[in-house]
Amino acid sequence: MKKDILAVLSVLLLLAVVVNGTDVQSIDEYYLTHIDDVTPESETVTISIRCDAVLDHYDQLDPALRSDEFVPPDGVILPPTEYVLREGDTVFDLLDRAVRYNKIQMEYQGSDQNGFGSVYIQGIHYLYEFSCGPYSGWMYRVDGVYPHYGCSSYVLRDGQVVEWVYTCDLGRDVGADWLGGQGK
Amino acid sequence: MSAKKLLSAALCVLLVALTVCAGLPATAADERIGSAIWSVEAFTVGGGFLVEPTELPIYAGENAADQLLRLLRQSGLVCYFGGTADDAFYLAYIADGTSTRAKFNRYSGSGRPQNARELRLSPSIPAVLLPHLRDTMVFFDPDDYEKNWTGYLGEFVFTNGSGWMYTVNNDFPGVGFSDTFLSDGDVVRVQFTLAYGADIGGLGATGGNAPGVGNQPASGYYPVANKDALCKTICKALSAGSLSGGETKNAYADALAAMAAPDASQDRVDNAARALADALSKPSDVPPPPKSDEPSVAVSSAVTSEPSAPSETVSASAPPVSEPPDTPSEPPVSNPPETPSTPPEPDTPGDANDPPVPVSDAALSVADGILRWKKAENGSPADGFLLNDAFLASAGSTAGDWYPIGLDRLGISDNFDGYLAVLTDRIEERYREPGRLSAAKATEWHRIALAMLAAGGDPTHAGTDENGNPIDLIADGTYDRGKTAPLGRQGLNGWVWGLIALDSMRYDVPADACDTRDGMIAEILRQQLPDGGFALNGTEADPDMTAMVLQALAPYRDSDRVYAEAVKTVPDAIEDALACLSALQLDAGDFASWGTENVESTDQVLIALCCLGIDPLTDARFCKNGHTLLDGILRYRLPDGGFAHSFAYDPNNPTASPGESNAMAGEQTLLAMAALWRQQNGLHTLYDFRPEEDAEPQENATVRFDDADREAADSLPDTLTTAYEATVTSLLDKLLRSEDFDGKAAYLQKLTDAKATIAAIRAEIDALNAEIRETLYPFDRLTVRDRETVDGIFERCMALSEYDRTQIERFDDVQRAKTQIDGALRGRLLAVVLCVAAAGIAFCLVRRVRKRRKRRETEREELAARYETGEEP
Repeated sequence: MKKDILAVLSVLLLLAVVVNGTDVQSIDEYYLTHIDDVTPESETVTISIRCDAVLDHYDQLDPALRSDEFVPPDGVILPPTEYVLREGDTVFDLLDRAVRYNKIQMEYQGSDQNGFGSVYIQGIHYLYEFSCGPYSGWMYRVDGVYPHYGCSSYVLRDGQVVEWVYTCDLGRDVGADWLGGQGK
Repeated sequence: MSAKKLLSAALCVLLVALTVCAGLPATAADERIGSAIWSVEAFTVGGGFLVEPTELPIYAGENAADQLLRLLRQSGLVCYFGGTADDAFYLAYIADGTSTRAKFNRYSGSGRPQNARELRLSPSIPAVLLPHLRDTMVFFDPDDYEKNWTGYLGEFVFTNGSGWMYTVNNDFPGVGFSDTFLSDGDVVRVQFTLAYGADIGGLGATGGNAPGVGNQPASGYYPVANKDALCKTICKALSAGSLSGGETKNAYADALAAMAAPDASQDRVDNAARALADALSKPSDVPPPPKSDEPSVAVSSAVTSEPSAPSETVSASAPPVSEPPDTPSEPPVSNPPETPSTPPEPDTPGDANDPPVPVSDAALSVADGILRWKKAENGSPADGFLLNDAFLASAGSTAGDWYPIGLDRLGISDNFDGYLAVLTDRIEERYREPGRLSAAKATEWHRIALAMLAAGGDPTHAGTDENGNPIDLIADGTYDRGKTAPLGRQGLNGWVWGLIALDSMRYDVPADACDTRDGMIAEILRQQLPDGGFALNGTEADPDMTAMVLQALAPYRDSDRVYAEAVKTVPDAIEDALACLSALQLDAGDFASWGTENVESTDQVLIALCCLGIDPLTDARFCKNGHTLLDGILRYRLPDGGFAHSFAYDPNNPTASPGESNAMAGEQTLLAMAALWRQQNGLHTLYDFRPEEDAEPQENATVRFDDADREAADSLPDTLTTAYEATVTSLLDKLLRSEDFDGKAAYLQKLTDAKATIAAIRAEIDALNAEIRETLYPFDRLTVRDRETVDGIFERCMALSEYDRTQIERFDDVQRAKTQIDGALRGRLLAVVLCVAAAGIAFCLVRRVRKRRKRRETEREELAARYETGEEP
């Protein structure tokens, strides 16, 4: 008798474990909810967001922003983070995903709202263009190179590393040599 | 992995198998009308034949694109193309057959072939090409393929002028693969070019005007022999399969060498073909090798090319400018990938013998081209308004405001009333936000003030603020900007454009203002660099910044005032800046800014000269090598009438197309043409909006809400979306200004309600976007407990119209969150149901077991009883 009950209980327990660990989903649902899972086969890209330059130009910074809340003491707003590369992902798509997933404030001007025909990033983490002097704003580099193009025109490839950096000097303070020999 | 998933996968496989089987017989049924010899050649990069010369059957109705796709598929290769096989097919890349990408650089893939193979290229560019490429290419990297493109050969690999081109019977067709229909016996050679065809004898085929093609020697790098006969002979040799015999082997090697030498003479090619044919006609001394079962494929070469651009246009001979031909006299080869369907209407090609066209007409006609391109992009008919409802959506942004300014300054009428209505609405809206138009950029006020003037409005009365006071863009954006943020917060641009806006109507500055005119001029003069120019920062002049400073200082060019200590007078500053600009002008007449040759810098310099009253086409300081500023600008004109920003190619970003018509290039060139046209016609300068001396005083014409307007109002749908925002705003504005008529009140009610409805939808979209940002992320924190929130957001999104839903940022994330939670919930439910079921079963089981035991016990007892009675009968 006792044995019976024991057997029945263990079957129940096993069932509960199995059911709990199983997602009951269609294939589409599975792909939708696991699109960001990094597996050995997935193509990935890495993104980081930093504002070190502000630390060196604190005197130029808008007084309202002079706080660790807006400018982290180590300059890191987002450490290098790996994301699955989705087909057609641009630098902007990746940034948008990263700031959403990490709840970082971001404001941008859509590609239909300016003459570049590309998204323009106005502010990240409450640091806006001109927040730290007339030559300040956000720039990005891919694999160490600053492209001449808007972030929504740059389609990413597997393994690329994107860095968003805040400049206080039109890129010179963050190693952008794309000024074509200007004003060095 | 659920069982469901496995089942679906199995079903898919079955389905695919069925489809494949069903598709097979179709081709075979087509009628064969002959065959062509095709080859795919990469000799310019030392890559030999990608597909050896092969005979390919031609089926009735098949175009060259169909054939090419078939050829590559049976050769085990993949290609990536623009357009479709039927229309505007553009061969962008030939790639490893193992490539699994559905798309590559926006081009569609042809799908993985059965016997997929790799390109296996180890490129080595023939020495004869190297000096040419180094001299004439903006971008050239002999290692580019290995670095960036392994497995993909096509446009922009190695150089800015590379891509696939093709010949049919040694002729580069003037059209793309889709429009070429082959005949029996044609020889088609698809060849890889590194230099717009200059390396394969096909330079003319690109229309001579692809981006940067002007650098190429007109007659190509060297004479290129006709290799069709050689190709045919090689095809014969391959199909005969007898290549190992001593003589044949040598002849075949010679033939391949002649194919591979880009500059082989016709004699060498002919001799090689003859020798190979002779060798083949002799009985072979070795048995032919068994034929491989891989079908060898013949390819003919079709040349696909860069979008052809107008030829180097106007020879620089100053004043008379002949209108640049819009299309080269021969049709452009192949289809530019971006503008597949509508070829530009050919303008009259500029002929050297045509009488010179007056400059102002030339300026107008260039402007017309830009408007034609912009209208096409915008979805307006060529004779319709540029400022249609779609365009009005961009009122008050940098994307929108410059075009109405250009239109007005060219004296072209358009939907200015509509623009003004929407612009005013936007300004009022933005004035209710904390930073008003912008916390950082005073130039927002300046640009919008100019746009308002252009549209016929008054920037000192640009709607009303929340307190009912008139909004004064000039005060808030220029002399009183300092009350909220320094005018120069964004640098020199703030001062320069502030002064331009202030002088657009020569507005008075009140005595108690934050900044004075003189102060602004002094601030600008203070920033002049030692070289005479100006820049956003740094010590070297930037042509755009220098030119814009000149535009701002132009009204003061005759003043000998000293505005501040240690700065030059305005005339001196202007002279130095002009000298600096003159030195920066390039040989083609254009300028480079931030390291890139581009059209906008050139536009700004031309505008500056016009503002200063200097004729930009005759001033010797701005004529380089016989090329004027206008020549420099027209270099960037494209066949669709629009302008490219630059032709410089960025190897870091092969997906950005440098040679495409670009909004900013278009608008700034439009302004430059307006400046030139105004100068030629003796009108005020570009940003001087004061009425002309002889202008008729403007009558306040009565506005009528006419039949067309009533129809537009009547045809508004019952379910409104934000797509109707501009329409409703401009109709309501017109109605409010119109004279009374029967039924005006009803229209007023309808349009006011419509505006309120749309405003509510807009508010809901904004609220949803904020809530999505706030509540959905990170996904792994979402649990069943968030179900109500997520379901609420999802339902509210679904309640929006389809159009409005497109304005929800990341609606896919909402769906994902809902799916995740639904899945979890379903899992939990299932678990509960299963447990209950299991418990029920267990209960039954136990009961049955007990029953059975009880029964057995009873039986035993009965038996015992019976036994007892049996013992004692």
